[in-house]
Amino acid sequence: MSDEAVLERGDAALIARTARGDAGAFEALVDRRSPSLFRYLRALARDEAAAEDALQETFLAIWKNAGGQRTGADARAWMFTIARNALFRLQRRRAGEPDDFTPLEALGGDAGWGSELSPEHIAVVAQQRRLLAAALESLPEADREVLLLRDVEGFSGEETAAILGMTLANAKTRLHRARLRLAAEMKRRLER
Amino acid sequence: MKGEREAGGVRCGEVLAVLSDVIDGTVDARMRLRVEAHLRECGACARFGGAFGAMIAALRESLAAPDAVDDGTRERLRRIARS
Repeated sequence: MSDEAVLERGDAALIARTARGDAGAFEALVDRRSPSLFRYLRALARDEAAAEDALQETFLAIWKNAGGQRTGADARAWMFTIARNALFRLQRRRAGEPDDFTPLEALGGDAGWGSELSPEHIAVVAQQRRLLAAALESLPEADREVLLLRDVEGFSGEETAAILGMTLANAKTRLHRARLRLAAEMKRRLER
Repeated sequence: MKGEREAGGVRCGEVLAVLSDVIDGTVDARMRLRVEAHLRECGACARFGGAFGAMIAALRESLAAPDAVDDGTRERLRRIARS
């Protein structure tokens, strides 16, 4: 079983004990999951204070609603969905964003697809954590969010779609376009 | 795309469209074989696909370990269950 799968099973057990009022289990959940939840909220909000408020609201909701979480392999996805909703509620934002109609070939071209020049610089830049993080942070919110969930936090395609409240097909489309824009952003930074 | 070609039964644009599915292992077997055949013949797509995959791998690895929240924040969160 993978490390994450072991943790996932532990999350479900901690949530079940939290639902029975076990403060120790709740505190263990805080210790275990607050780092990744805070990273997600901070990257999504791009505002440290808003992310802290949303993190507080997230764990308040987890404490109150643990009894409503069905046991199974989606405990972590449930927590991230709560976090997302908490942030959007605090910021009073709509959950969706306008569709992006930029042709895929245009996104690919920006990223170096079809170029006579070698696109290896994308991979080279990707090795530099600082530049990669900066490139990710500069993307639109919808792009950051799907990349954070799918590639950074490692949720499956189905879990990512469930957290975002969209179909799997839409989530996969959003992910691919986000990855292309990330590649274009890194290409642009390297060419500065 | 300038110079777009067909190889392995698919065009460069079609390979671009399914590249994430190929990297994530979610493309159907028939398309995967076609893409692999295309990449054997099309150097531009092979180079871009390799770099794109390396970028995704680097994203997954380099940002995998989140920083801990500061002690004050963690203590406020833990107190939720004691209030």
